[in-house]
Amino acid sequence: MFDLEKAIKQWRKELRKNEALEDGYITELESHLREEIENQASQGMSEEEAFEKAITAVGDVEGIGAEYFKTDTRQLSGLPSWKSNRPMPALFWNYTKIAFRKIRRHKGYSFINIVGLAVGIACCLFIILFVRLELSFDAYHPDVKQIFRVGLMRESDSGKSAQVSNLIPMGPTLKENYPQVRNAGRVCIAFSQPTVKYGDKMFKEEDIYKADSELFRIFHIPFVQGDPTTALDGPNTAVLTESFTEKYFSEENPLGKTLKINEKDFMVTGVVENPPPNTHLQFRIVLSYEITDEPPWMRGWHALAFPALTYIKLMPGVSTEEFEKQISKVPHEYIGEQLKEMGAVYTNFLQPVRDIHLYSYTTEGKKPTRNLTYIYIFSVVGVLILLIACMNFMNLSTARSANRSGEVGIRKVVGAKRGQLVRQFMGESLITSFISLIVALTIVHLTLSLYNNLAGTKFTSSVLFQPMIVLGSIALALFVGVAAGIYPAIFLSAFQPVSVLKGFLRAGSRGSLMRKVLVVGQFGISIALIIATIIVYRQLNYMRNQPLGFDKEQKLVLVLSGWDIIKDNYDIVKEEFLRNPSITSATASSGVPGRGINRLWIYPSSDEPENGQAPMILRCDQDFISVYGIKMLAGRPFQKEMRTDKLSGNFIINEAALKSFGWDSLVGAVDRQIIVGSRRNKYKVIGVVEDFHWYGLQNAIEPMVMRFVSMYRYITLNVNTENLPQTLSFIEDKHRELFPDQVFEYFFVDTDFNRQYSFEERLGRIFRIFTFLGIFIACLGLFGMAAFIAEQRTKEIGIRKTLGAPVSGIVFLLSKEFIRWILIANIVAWPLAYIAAHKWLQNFAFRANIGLEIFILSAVLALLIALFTVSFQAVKAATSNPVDSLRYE
Amino acid sequence: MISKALVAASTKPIILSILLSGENYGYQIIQSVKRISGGKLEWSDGMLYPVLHRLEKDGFISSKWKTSHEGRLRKYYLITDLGKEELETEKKQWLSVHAALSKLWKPLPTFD
Repeated sequence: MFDLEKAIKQWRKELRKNEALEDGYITELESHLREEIENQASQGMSEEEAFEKAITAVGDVEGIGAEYFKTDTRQLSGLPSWKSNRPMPALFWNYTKIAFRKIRRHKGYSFINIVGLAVGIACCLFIILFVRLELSFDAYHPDVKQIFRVGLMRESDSGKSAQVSNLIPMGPTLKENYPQVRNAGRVCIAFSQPTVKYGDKMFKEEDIYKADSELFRIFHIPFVQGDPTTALDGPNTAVLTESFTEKYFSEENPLGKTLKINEKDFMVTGVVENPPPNTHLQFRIVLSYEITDEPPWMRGWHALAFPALTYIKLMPGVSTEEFEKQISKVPHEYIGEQLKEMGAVYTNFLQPVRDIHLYSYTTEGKKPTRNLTYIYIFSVVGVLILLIACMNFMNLSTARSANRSGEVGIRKVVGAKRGQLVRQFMGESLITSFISLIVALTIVHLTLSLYNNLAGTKFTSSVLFQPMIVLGSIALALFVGVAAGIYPAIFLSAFQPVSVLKGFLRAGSRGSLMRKVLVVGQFGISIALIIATIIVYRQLNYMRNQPLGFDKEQKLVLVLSGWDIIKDNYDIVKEEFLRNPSITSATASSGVPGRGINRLWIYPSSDEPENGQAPMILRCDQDFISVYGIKMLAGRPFQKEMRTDKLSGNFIINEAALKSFGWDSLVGAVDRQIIVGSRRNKYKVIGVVEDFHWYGLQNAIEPMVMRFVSMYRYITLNVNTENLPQTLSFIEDKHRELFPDQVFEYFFVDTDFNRQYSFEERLGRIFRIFTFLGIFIACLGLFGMAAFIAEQRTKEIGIRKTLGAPVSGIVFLLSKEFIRWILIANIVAWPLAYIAAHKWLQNFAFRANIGLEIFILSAVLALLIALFTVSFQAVKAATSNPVDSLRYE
Repeated sequence: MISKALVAASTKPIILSILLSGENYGYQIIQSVKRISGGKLEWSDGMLYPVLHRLEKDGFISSKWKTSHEGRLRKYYLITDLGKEELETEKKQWLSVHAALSKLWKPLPTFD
C-alpha cells in the first residue's frame, strides 16, 4: 500500500543529502510538491501516480541544489576561491571568530592574560609619560640648539670642578665683544625667600629671579600683558607669572602697581604665562637686573662672587666648539690677577640648555643628575614588568597548546600552510594585546592621580589623547602582541597533524623546558625587585637612624629673611625666647644641618696660592656646639666672655678639616694659625670638634670651620615637646612682637634634615609599587600554570588518592616542581641584584651593608608568595573526590 | 519549444511581471507562467525556487511564510520598489530587442 506521507518523508530525506539545500528551501519545495500532488489527484490520478508525476515535474534535485549554491555563494566571491581579491585573507573572519571564542570559553586564562598584559602595558605607559616629560625639558624654545648657559670651569691641583653661574658682567661683555652672540642675559635666583607685600597680603616667596630683558629674547616666555622688549629695562621693575598675579591681585589689573619685596618697591610691568613643567626656569617673579641701592660689588668683576647664571643665544651657523675656545679665556682677561690669587685657573664653558635638566656639571665634567637616574631606573623596571607580563602570555599559550592541537591538525589537513597558522596565532595574540591596551588605558586613567603623587608630576587624563601617546600605545600593543605571541605561534604551528590527530601528543608535554625557563625568568625578575626594594628601604633606614654626630631631636628653627635682622639685639632676642620654661636653650647660626652653607677661602698652612682651600664656614654663637650636642675633641668652645673669640674671629674646625689641612695631631691643632683672604689676616684655631653630618648621608663629611661672627640666618630653639601647641603659639607671639614686619617661618631640624632623603623615599615607593605589580603579574601566571598542571594530573591524583595518598602528600607533589623553579630563579636573581645594588649604593658616602640575609629574606618571601598561589590549585586538586576524576575511565 | 538560454534570460522579467499584480507563491507562479505561455515556456518546476531565492537576495522581491486555510505552509513573494525599477529596465531591453527584430523581419519590398 502506497503511503504518501512516508514517500514524501523519504523524498525529503533525499533532498537533505544535498548540502546546498537548507531546511527552508526544502520546506518550500515540499509545499510545492504537495500542491502539485493535490492538483493531479483532483484530476483523478492515484496518489502514487500523482506523487511520481510531481517529482518528475519538480525536476533534477542536483540541478536545483547547484542553482541554490550558486545563488548563495555568488555574493561571497565573484572569483574562484584561489583568486581571492578581498582585502582580508580568506579565513580572516574565521580566525577572529575563533579568537573571541577562545577568549570567551576560557575565562580564567583570558583574565590572567589580559589583566597581566594590561598591568604591564599600564606600567609602560606611565614610564612613557614620565620619560617623555623628562626628555622634553626646554625643547620648546625656538632655536634651542643655539641657546647655552656659560659656566665656569675651575681647574687646580685638586682637579676640575664646574660652576653653573658666572661672573656678573660676563653676559653683557660677551655680547659686546663677540659678533657670534645674538643675545646674552643674566639670571640671579634669590638665595633666601624674600618677603613680598601688596596691600594686606604678605608672604615669603620662592623662585624669585632677577634678570635682563634679554631673557625674553632668548627663551620662549609668552606675555599676557606688557611689552616683552622693554619690560625689565627700567630699574626696580617686575614681571609676574599668572599664578602669582592671581595670588596677590585676584581681579585687579596688576600693570603699573607697586609690590614691596624685602621692603623695596617694584613696579609691575608685565604678566607672563606660568612656566610649563618642562623647563628648568621655574620662576614666579622676574625682577629687573637693575635694583637701586645694591652694593657696587654686585655689578662689577669680582672674583669671589659668581651669582649670575649667564645664558647666551648664538647666531645661526656659529660653531659651538670654536666659540667655546674663543671665550674660554675671558675670565682671565678681566680678573686674571684675582683668580691667580685663588690658586686655580678659571675658564668659560658652554652648556647646551637642553642638557641642564638631565646633566649636571657641578663635578668632574658631565654627569647624569638624579632625573636621569630616575629615567634609567624607571625604564628598566618598566621593561622588566612588561617582560613578566609577556612571559605569562607565552607560558599559558604554550601550556594550553594541547587544547589547540586538534584545531591545528585539522587546519593543516585541509591545507593550511604554516605561515597561515603563524599569522592566525599572532593575530590572536594581537587581539588580546589590544584588549589589554584598552584595559591598560582605563587603569592609567583611573590611577593617574596616584601616579602624579608618586612621580611628582601634574598629568591629566587628556595626555592620553596626545597623538604621540596614542601612537606610542598602539606601537606598544603591537610590540607586546608580537613579542608575546611569536613563540606560541611558532610552537603551535609546528605540530605534526599525524601525531596530534592520532593522539600521540600528550597534552602540555612539549615545550616544558621553555616554560620552565619562562617561570624562572619571571620569578628571577620578581626576586631581584624584592631585593632592590629591601635594599632601598634598608639604606633609607640606615640614613635616618645613623647617629649624625649632632642631636636633631626637638629642635625648632626660626628662619630670618636677612643677615641683619639680629645683630646687636641678639642677646635680648635670645633672652625673650628663653623666658618660656619649655624652651631649654637657644642658639643662632648662619646655617643649620641640612640647609645650604657658604664657603670660605683660607690658607691653613702657608699663604702660597696653591695651598688655598674652601671649607664650609659656619658662623654661630657660643652655644651652637652645646645646643646641637656636638662633641669637642680638643680645645674649647667659643666663649662669650672671651672678647677675642668674637673680635678676632678664632676658629673651631672639624676632624675632616684637620685631615684636609694635613695637620696630624688633635692636640697640636689647637693654637695653629689659619690665614684668611687677600689681606692675609691670621687667626687662631681654638678647638676641634668631632665630625658631624651637615648634609645627608649621601654625602661625605666635608671639612668645616666655625667662627663666632654674628651673621645669623637661623635661630634654633631646643623645645620641650610636652605641650608643643602652647610653646608654638608663645614662639609665634614672641616672633610677632620682636620682628613685626617678618613672616613667621619655622621648621623642625629632624624632619627638615630627612627631607634630603625624599629622592630615596620616592625611589623606595616606586620600587615597592613596581615590585608588587611584578609579583602580582608573575603570580597570575603561576596561578594559571598551577591550574593547568593540576588539571593535567587530575587522573593521576585520583589514582593516588584511591591508593591512599594523603592530601598533604598530593599538595607537596604538585608544589614541588614550583619550589624547584623558584630556587633556580634565586640563583639567577642574586648576582644581578647584587651588582645593581652595589652600583646604586656607590651614590652614598655612607651605606648600609648588603647582607646575605636580604637575599635569603627575598628568597623566602618569593617562595611563600609562590607557594600560597600554587597551593590554591594544589589543595583544590588534592581535596577533590577521586570518584569525579576517575568516573569516566 | 523555446531554447534553454532564452528561458533562463526571460525568467526574471516574467516572474517580476507576475508579481506586479500582487503577492504570490511558487506553485501559483508556475501555473501562471504555464497558462500565459500556453505551455511553450517549459520550466522544470523545481528550478523556479533557486531563481526566486536569487531575486530575493538581489532585493527585487521579498518573501514571507504564511499558512493557508488548509494548514499548508506557503512562502509568498512580493515585488519590491527596486524590483519594479528593475522590471522597467528589463522591459525596455526586451522591447528594443523586439523592435529591432520586428524591423528586420518585415516583408521585403518588391520591385515590380
